[in-house]
Amino acid sequence: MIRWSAPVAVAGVIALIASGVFSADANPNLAPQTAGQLLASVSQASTPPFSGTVVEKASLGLPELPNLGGDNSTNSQGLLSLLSGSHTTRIWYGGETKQRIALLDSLGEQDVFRNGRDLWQWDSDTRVATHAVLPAGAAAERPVPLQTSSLTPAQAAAEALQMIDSTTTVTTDHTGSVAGRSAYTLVLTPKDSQSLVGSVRLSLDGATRVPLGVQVFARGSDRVAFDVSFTQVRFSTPGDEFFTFNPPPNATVKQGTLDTLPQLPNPAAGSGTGRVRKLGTGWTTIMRIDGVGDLTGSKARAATGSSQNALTFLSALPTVSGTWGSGHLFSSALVNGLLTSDGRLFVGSVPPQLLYQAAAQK
Amino acid sequence: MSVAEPLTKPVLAVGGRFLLSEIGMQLRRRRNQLILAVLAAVPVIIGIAVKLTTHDGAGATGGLIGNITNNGIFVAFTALIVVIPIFLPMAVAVVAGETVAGEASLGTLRYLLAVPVGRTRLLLTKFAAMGFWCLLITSVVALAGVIIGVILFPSAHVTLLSGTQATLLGGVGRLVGMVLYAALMMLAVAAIGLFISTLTEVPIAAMAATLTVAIVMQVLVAVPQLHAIHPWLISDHLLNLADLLRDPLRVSGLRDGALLAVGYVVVFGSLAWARFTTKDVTS
Repeated sequence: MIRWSAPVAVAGVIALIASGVFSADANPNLAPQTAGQLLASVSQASTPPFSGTVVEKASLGLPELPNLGGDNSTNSQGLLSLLSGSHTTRIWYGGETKQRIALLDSLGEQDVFRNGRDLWQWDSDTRVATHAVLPAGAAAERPVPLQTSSLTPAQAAAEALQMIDSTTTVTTDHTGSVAGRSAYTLVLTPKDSQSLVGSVRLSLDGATRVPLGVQVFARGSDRVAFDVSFTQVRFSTPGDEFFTFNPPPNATVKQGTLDTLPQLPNPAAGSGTGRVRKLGTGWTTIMRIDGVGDLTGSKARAATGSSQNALTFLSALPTVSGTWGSGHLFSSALVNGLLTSDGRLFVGSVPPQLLYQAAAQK
Repeated sequence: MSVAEPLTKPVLAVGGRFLLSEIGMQLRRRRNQLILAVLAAVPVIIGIAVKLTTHDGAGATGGLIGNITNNGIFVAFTALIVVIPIFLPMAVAVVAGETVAGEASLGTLRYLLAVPVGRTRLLLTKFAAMGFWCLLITSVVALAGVIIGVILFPSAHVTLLSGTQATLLGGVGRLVGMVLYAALMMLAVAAIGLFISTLTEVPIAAMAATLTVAIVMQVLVAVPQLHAIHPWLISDHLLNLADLLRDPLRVSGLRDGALLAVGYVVVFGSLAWARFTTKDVTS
C-alpha cells in the first residue's frame, strides 16, 4: 500500500511547482510612486528597443466567435474575434524605423517587417509577400502605424490613458510582476455608472515605464474579462536579421504603397469593412460601423467566406426591437453589440439601452 | 559462455540483453511491422498527391502543403503534423497496452518474474523499449517523408512559416527537433498505456483504454469552454511542433509541451510502478 504514496507524492510535487509556489517571483523592490508621478513618467517615456511575446486573452463567457469583417484572409481575426479566445503575437522593436510583428496561428503566421523605408507583409497561408516603399523624407524616419489585428499592451494602454479625465479615478495598487519584470500598477476606475467597465489595470515596467500589460474588469466582477500582456519581454536591441525580409522563391510578390498594402484586419479600426464612427466620449463611447451587412436583403452584402459565417452567427443572436427599429443584440459582461436590420453595428461597453438610443439617431 | 566471465557483469548485461530482446520482439511482430508500413505510407501518399495535383509550381496552394513543391523536406514536416494527433497515439497505444497485459495474457509474465530481475527493472526495461518504439515511429514518418520528398521535389533552401529561409542543413536540424519532440509527447501516451497495461490481463482492453484516453484528450481540446484545463492535456501541445518552423524558433511552446510530457511520464510511470510491484501475478 505504501508504494501508492509515490505517485501521489509525485503528482503533489508537480501540482505545487505548477501553482508557482517555488517560483522565485522576486518581491518587486520598486520605489513608491504616486499615480500622478506614474502618469507623468508614462507620458514622457520613449520606448526602448525590445523583443517579446504578447498574449491577448478575452474571457467574457462567450463561445468561440466566427470572424466578422475580415474577408481578405481565412485566418483574419476580425472585430468579434477579439472578444473570445486567445491570440499570440511576437514583437521585435529595434527603434522607430525597425519593427517586426508576427501573428501566430497554430500552423501559420502573418508577419510585418519594417526596415527603414522597406515594408514587407507576409502571409504564410497564401504565401503572398507584399512590398511597400515608404516615401522618403520625414515620413521614413517615423514609425508607421503597423496595422495588425492584435493589440499590444502599449496600444491598449494608450487607449486607456486617453480616457483619463474628470470621469476617471486614477489610483495605484501594490506592485506586481509581469513577464518576470517588476511592475507598477495603475488602476483606472470609471466614475460613470453607465459604463460596463469596472476598472482597468495597467502594469508599467518598473525600469522603463513601458506598459507590460493591460487588464480590464467588468463592473461588479473580480475576474479579468480582457487581458493583453507580455508573457516574455527582453529590453535589448534585436539584431538586424530580425527586420530584413527577402521573399522566398515560391512566394507571390506584390508591390504596393502604404495605403494599398493589404492591411492585416484591425479590430480597433473596425476591420476596414464599412465606416467607423465614434459616438459619445469617455468610457461610454459607442463605435458605430456602417455597412456591415444587409440582413433584410435576400442575400447578405458581404457574402464572402468568414463574413457570411459572421452574419449567420449574428442572425442567430436574440432579436430585439424598439422605436429605433429591430436588430440582433450581442451581449456580454464587458461589451454589448447591436446589429440593426439595416446593417449598422453599434458596439460599446454600455448597457443595451444606450445602444438603442444610438441606433435611434440615423 | 566462458567460465571466466565476471560475476558483476550480468546485472548490466542481463538488462541490456533484456531490452534488446524486448525491442526484437516489438520488431518481429507482424502487427507492429504493419503499423510501421502504414505510417511510412502517409508521407508517400502526401508527396505523390501533391506531385500529381501541381504542375511545375503552378497551382501550388498555400500553407504547409504548398511549401512541399518548393522543398521536399516539407513532405516530412507535413506528414508529422498529419500523423501526430491520432495515428501516432494509436501506434503507441497498441504497443504500450501490450507491454504487461500481453505477457499476463500469454501466461509468460510469471516466467519472466522468475528470472532474477526485479519487477522495477522489468518495468523500466519495458518502458525503455517503449521509448525506442516512440522514437522509431516518428523517425519512420520523417525518414519516409525526406526520401519521397527528395525523389519528387527540389530541395534547396527551406522556407519557414515566417517567410524567411533556412539552409537545407538548418531544415534537417529542425526536422530532427520535430522527431524528438513528437517522440517525447508520444512517450507521455506510452506512460499512460504502461499504467493501464498493469491494471488488466487483457491486452486489447489496455490498448483500447489507452487510445480512448488519447482521443478524449483531443475532444476536450476542441471544446473552448474547457479552456482552463487545456494546458494540462497532451493533445493541446502536439501542434507546438510547428513552432520549430518559425524564425526565430519559438521555444516556449516546445518547453511547455516537453515539461508536460515529462510530468505525465513521471506520474503514470510511478503509478505503473506502484501497481506492478504490488500486484499478485497469477497468470
